[in-house]
Amino acid sequence: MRRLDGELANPSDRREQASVPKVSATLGARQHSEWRLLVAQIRHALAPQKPSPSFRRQLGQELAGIAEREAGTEVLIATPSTPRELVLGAAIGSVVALAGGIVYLLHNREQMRARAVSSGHFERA
Amino acid sequence: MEPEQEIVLVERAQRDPLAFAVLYELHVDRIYNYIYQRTGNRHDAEDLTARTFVKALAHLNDYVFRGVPFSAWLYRIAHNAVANWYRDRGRHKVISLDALVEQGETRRHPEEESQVLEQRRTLLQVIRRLSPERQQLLILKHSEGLKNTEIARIMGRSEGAIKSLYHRTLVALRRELRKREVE
Repeated sequence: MRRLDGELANPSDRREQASVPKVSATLGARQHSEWRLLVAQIRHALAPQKPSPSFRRQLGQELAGIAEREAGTEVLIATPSTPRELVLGAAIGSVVALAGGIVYLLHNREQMRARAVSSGHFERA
Repeated sequence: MEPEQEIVLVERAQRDPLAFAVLYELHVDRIYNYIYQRTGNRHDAEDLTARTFVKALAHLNDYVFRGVPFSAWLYRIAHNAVANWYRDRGRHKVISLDALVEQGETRRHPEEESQVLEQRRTLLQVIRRLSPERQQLLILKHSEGLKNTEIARIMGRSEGAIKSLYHRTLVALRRELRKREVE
């Protein structure tokens, strides 16, 4: 059995090569023509057959569909959503929320100070 | 195609599966023919050809060039697919009528045509009784028209071994045909 990785060198090949008979030197003309006839009959019996154009096209499309799905899977795997984006977004949101809170507090203090001034009381900042 | 050119195409397809289409177009005819000659009918030849190329695409990254052409790898997948087909169906000795009908010539006299068809049927029966390896050799040599050096690469044997195997195959064929003539 031959491996798919292409390993050659069947040890029995060397023995087979050594045992090749010198047939062509001993065959008479008649025997030679018998061999040629047999070979011609084999060639005729095994005349090449092509696939129908419709089958060829259909299988090609099927393979292209499989290849597209494989290629699409590879693209998805290559560009996953990174946590870095999420962290950045959360950080920005936090800063905005914090800033908004500070603005609100300062605004409230200003309003309270303004009321205190108008009523004659001072408050510590 | 030179092996170096073929390697470029294979490597491209290994990076981008969509590029497999080029390899398919290059090899589909010969793979289909090989399978057809082994099975003898179009329906099974189409089915097994499809399985061969789907499997080749699925396992394309397993192929590594180590002196053996990509076509040899494809032939091996096809060869195994046919072997599994025979094992599953138990059809070792049946001749499909496809081969006879499609190859029949209509210009002869009906009696002569009948005789020719019968001879061809007998020869195909005998060929399909040969071992898978011998069948493969005959198909590659006489149906695909490959040289012994190319056949040797595909079958993973030396050129001398191929010549020897070929000679033994012809002797076996002739012996079997003569036996049938006597019967």
